[in-house]
Amino acid sequence: MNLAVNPAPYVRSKNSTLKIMLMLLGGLALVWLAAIIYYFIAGNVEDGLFAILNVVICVLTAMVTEILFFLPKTLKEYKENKEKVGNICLYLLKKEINSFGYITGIILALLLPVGMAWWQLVFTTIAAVAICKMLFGGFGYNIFNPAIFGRIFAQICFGSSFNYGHIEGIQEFEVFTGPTVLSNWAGEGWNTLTSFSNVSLFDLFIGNYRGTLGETFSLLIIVIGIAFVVLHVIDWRISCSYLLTCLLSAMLVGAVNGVSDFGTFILAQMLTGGILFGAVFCLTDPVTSPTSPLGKIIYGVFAGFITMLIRFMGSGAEGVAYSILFANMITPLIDMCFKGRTTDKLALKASITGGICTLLILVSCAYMGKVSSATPTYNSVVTEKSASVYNVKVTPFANQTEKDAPYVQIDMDVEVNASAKTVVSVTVNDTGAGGGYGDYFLGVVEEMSEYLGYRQDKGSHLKELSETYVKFEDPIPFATFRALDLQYYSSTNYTEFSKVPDTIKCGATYTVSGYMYGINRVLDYVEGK
Amino acid sequence: MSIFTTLGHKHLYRIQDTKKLSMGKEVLKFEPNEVFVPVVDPGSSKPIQLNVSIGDLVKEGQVIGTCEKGTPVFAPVSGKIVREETMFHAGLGRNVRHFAIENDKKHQKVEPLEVLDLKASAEQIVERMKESGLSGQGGAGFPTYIKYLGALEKNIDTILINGVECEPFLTTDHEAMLLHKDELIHGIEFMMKAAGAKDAYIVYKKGYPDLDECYKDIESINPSIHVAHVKNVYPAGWERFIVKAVLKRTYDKLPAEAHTIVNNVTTAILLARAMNGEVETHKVITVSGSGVSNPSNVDVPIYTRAVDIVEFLGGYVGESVSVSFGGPMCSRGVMDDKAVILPYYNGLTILPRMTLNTLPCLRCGACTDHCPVGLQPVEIKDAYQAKDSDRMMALTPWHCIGCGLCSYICPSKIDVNDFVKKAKLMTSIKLKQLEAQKKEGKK
Ligand code: SF4
Ligand code: SF4
Repeated sequence: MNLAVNPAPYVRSKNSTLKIMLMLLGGLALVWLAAIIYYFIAGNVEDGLFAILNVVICVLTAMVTEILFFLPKTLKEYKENKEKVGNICLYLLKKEINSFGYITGIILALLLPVGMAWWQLVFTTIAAVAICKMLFGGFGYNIFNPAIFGRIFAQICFGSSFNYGHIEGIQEFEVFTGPTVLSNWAGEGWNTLTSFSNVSLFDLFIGNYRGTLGETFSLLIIVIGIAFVVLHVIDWRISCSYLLTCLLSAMLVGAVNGVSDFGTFILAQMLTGGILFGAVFCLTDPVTSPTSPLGKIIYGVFAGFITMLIRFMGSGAEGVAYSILFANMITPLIDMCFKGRTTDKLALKASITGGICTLLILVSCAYMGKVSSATPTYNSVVTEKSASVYNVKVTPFANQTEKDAPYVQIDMDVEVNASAKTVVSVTVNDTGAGGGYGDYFLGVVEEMSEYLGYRQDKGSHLKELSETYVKFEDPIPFATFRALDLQYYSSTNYTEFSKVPDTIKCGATYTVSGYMYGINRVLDYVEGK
Repeated sequence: MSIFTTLGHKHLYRIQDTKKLSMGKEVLKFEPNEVFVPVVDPGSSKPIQLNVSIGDLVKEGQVIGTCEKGTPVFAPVSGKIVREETMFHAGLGRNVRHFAIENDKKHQKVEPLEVLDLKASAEQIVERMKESGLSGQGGAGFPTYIKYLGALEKNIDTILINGVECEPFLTTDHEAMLLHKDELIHGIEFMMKAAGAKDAYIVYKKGYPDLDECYKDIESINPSIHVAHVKNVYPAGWERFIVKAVLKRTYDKLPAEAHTIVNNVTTAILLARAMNGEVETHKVITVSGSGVSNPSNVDVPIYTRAVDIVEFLGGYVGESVSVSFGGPMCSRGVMDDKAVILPYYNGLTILPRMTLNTLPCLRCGACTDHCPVGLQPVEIKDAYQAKDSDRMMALTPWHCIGCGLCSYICPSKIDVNDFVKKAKLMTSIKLKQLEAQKKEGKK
């Protein structure tokens, strides 16, 4: 009889890492399914196909990348011991299944928007898996969450070209994180929800709007998250402490700034920007989070704090991704801090945690005070240049200080055909100073030209278009907006435009809103004559 | 407060109930042809003081030697000491000398000791514990009398009788409680007398209606003996847990600090017999697990070889099995199934060899979450692998009770417990040095 002498215990729990990961995969697949359905229904067939293809491309790339990393060692093993390895393909596949590259792939795909070129997806995935995971030693040894790393990588590398990178025929200005509801909102000032009046709170809840592929389906993500906690797939401490911190911060901002609709403000804050997706699928990645129970709470609080800090002080929607990366960074530090037993000095630990939380909340109070509370207003001056050409100068955020919003003045000439009630052309003389202007405006111009009836062939070169119909004097560093912005122009009769209220409804960011506002005011002027 | 620490409900993990295999089955009787008595002290592994030599005839219950601390070693069967053999000792984990006694199966007994009743003084009871070689039956084999030495001065008010038997597979305590209720009560009465305790609790798990039925009239038999329940989870049989659950008391090192003594049910039953003059020569053990043909409770002479018992039960199932003395959670598997059943063993668990798909550590923290003493096994493992002795010291691996939950729960199937044990070994030397320094410092 052959006596085995592996160490005790001789019974082991039926749970396994593979099982946990497959459950995670199941949850992600559900989100994916929701995305496919949404894009087929709300978008067109191409959108739907992209929703499918994006994930397939990312998952396959991730798996192939990992297999390539396994290859040298496997070949060596094969040479040494052919029997043990057996069928080399199966062996590699088995290794890959236990390395979970596909999880990274699907999370990454769900964190990216529809409309990226296939090569961008491939490149992003390779970067995420190779740099962030395999070079650290593979599964279990990475310091940063590879999917989050990939998302930030894509944003830095391709963020400005997403619009053009799409395959012919897709007309979608849904850009990455920029044009999500959150940045519209951030651009308009937190005081009001009007900036996405086309998206109701209910839409936010069920995911009836565009964002990155997977992060918009709040309700579904919440349900999956609860199921995961029950099934011990994720640790509730991380998700809960993260969400609670975000919630508290949002409440404080609301209270300090006296927002008009407190409930909506809070809910919308929690439902936008991928907070829920991050809390369920990204932040909880066990490899990159602390191991001790209290450590997990501190980790969640820290990430929540950074998320809200970036949201209110910085650019807005990227907060979740960056905060997770930061939190990953302090994970080893947190782990090192916990010595001895987790039961030691309970009171001390609890008070330390309490102290940290209070401190964070106090600090957040301080930074929240800076959030502008007034609804931004736009000033404009319209002058008649000739019979059909009007010059308009727009100052967005006219009522705010330099500190809150960069001083910007847009100067453009709008040519109007008053009898046909259409805009003929727009020439931008000056985009003003400060950030927020971008290449995306070119996209607006393209779209706009189409609506204005000037665009004949879709494939015509943008540069030409812009030179023909819209002239830019300034270089344009950065701007974001969405197709929605232009829907008011789709009507041939611009009398409709004048109904646009002063608080711009259609603008994505204040930049684009500024242009829209200017055009609208010219049209008002012509109408009023 | 399971939010910040681990001592919540979660560490008490429901381990699938494996006890059905042997529970309620008829106890089989097995007389081996030969038994092998180790002639070393089970504590210090030094040779014992021998009263007999090879070729002598011995009787059942005859003292063949005395250990260092004065506890005797008995011959479990009558017959002739035929030879000396070097065999594996499961308690010490290495090969030691054994005397082989050929069993004549005549059950010739020695004169029993003098019968003592409840009028006996506390000292007499403790003395009897010592001369009958009574040791803790919970699996550790700690001599029982040591717990009671000077117990009268320690203000012990309660005796806790541990019938929890939380290890999977084992059922001997459960069966003994059903079969030997009178002896158990008798034993408890002696224990209370020896310690000067006013109360005693028989503690067992919730969800055993047969035990509830059997012990529902306990207070009418002896009003100071009560029944207490603990959750049906592992490791609810851990002393510290029982003291906390029943008495709501905590302690640092020994239960005596919490004015209590914890003893196993079988120990109490054996004490009753010892007071009656009998010494332990035979015992009922659970032989269970899917690696043995006929899992049962078997009444065998102590010092019977495991392999003989397994053969008696129809042999092993499967090609490769692991054999452990005790339950499958915390006892060490043996390399050699010729090792013998020691007086304090209560089971033999035989399971097919595990094929574990070990993956890299996920750092999920499940081990930290479930450790009943609140250690951080994953951090200890990392520190051990990094050979970082300072970090290891900071993580205090010496608190480990070896319950095995960390390895049990690990989704990546890492033998975390093993790393903790190694770290414990490495740090224990340093710890002793530190303690010695501290003492000197105090002087
Ligand atoms: S074996 Fe030791 S470290 Fe592991 S769970 Fe039990 S007490 Fe904790
Ligand atoms: S349970 Fe296993 S995988 Fe999880 S942290 Fe502990 S050792 Fe690592």
